[in-house]
Amino acid sequence: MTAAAPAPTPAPETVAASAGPADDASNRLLEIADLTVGFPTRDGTVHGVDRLTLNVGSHERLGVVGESGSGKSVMGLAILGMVLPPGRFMGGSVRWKGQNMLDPAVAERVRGREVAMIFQDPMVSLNPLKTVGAQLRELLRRRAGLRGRAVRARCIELLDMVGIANPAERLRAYAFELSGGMRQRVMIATALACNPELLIADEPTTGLDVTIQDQVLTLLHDLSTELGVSVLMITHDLGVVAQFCDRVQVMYAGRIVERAPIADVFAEPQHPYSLGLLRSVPRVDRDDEELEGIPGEPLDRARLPSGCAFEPRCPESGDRCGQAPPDLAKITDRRWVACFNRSAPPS
Amino acid sequence: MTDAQNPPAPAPAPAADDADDAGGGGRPVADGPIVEGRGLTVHFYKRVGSRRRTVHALDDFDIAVGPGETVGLVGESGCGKSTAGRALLGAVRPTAGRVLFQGEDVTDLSRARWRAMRKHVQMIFQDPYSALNPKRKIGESVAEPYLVHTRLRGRELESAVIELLEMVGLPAGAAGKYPHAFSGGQRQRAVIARALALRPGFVVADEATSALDVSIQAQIVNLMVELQAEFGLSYLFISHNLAVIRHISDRVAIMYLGRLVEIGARSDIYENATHPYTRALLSSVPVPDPASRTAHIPLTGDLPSPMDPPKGCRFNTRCPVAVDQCFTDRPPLEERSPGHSVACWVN
Repeated sequence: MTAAAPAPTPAPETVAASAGPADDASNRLLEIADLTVGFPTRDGTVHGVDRLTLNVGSHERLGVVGESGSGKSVMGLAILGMVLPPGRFMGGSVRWKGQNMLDPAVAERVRGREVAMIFQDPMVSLNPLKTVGAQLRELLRRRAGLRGRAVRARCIELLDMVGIANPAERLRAYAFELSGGMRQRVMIATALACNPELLIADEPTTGLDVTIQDQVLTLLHDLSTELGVSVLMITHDLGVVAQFCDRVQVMYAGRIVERAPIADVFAEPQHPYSLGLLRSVPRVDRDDEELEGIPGEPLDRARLPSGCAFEPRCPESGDRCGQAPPDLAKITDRRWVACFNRSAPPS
Repeated sequence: MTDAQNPPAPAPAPAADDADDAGGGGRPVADGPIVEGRGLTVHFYKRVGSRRRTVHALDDFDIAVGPGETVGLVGESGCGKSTAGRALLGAVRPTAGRVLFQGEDVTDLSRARWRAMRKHVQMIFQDPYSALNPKRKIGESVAEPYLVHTRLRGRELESAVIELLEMVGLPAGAAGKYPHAFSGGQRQRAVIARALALRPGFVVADEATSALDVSIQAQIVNLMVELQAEFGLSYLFISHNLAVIRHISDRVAIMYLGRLVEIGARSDIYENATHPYTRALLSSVPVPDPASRTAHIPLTGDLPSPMDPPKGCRFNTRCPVAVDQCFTDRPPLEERSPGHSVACWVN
């Protein structure tokens, strides 16, 4: 949880990038610029996220999609000012409504109140020794400042909101007595306890059965609409992005390779990695001839090529790609891509 | 659940009104199936407090896998799909029912005879990290089946191992390295090489691609399809991923709480799903295409416990169309069109 050191490598060419609704500066909740988080290893510093720039607007559902090791979870934690040692901030800024989230005092005040997070495994996030009610009560007293009768009333209201039947009875249950889907509902209730404006959901339905995943996603979607909460959905599942989000950014090796409204990305992916990803996913709604996959192996993050990280696996790589990593550049009104072979039409 | 010592179980009382035979589920394929399960039932016994409870893992399960065929087995966690696969391989002794291999009853084979059978039937598991001994070089692990079942030694053994590794797309040099030097996808390739060393006729793949990133999953799925064509393999492909199952399977079986609810050709299941559970399952998969937002059939509630399965149709607690009969009588698996069987009183 180190506060930002002065950025050692300010990227001169990186523009404050954004697309979609968050382009409107007055509408921005979260603004991340050039964020770099490093992890020292024997082979040198690995950049968990590398000069990442991102804005989230109000009433927005933004998807962050990538495979293992793409840096999407590191990003999610860094937004809340949480970088677990030995990781550390190496540069850039994270601003929540203009306040510096890299200042521990600010992060402490915002975390769990204005910005809340839910994780993949509720069994780890819930205290196994306390009842659901005890955990919610503690949270409401400490973070929301509720007292007396209001606490219990709010507990029941929250469980009811996330679709848990017999909420008064469930308050007495321990985590192990609940099913996986039910536990994730409790986690969502906990996250919503202080009326956050942004919910960071890190693989919230991974590990749940599809019918339960469907219930949880529908619940999250409805709640975010009803309560006007923005959601940053971190996932490896392109299906979840397509069905849940308004915009998506695709990450590879700690960097954003493409960002656009979902309709654009799914209809016409521009970055060769986004394209490869979409061609790797089998479809449940039609017979597909062949899965193309992406050749090669996932990246060894300690041995990044000096050029574009995707270059070794890219079917379109050219001379420039091996030299320096491409910047995320605006190629149309709504779309940003980091690829030398995709550039803006001359204007 | 695996600590079950199954006593020579009393033949389970056949379900109330057992259909004369289980319909077309076990329909033999052209040349006669390579593996067949008839009325397979597996009960585990679990101590809960002072009582011994029966876990109904698999109940009266019929399946047949033809030569060169892939049968997909789908269901949510705890539905018995892994138990079904293990019972077909003799890894779990069924409480009742028969297993036939190329028409020959192998249910009651001794351990030694089963050991010899393992040449013909193999299994690939989900987790390539625990399937390979971390202290053994890849080459040693892959050579194991030859050491147990053949007289190949020395130089000949070495070249057989290298041939296997090349067959699954690993470099010959992989033989001398330890598993930690490989990615998940490469390890799964090594596991496949070992499973195919003795050219088995039948392979059970239990969530074989579920732990892999999508771009790598596509590579492994493609590899399995290629190897199947090359060696005329039969697969029982167990997965919770309905899209992968659609891609790889010729026929598909849907399970719920230990029972088969629907089985048919791929098109029967994906284009003409009949059982309300199959329909709900398919509608809950998020499609990676924002243009196709599917009409959801929400399933309320969670899976009941296999220790206390509902009477009648086991899906009755969550079924949107259940009628009175569903709560009292077990629906038989009935053939609705050639090869397409459904166990439902309503649809």
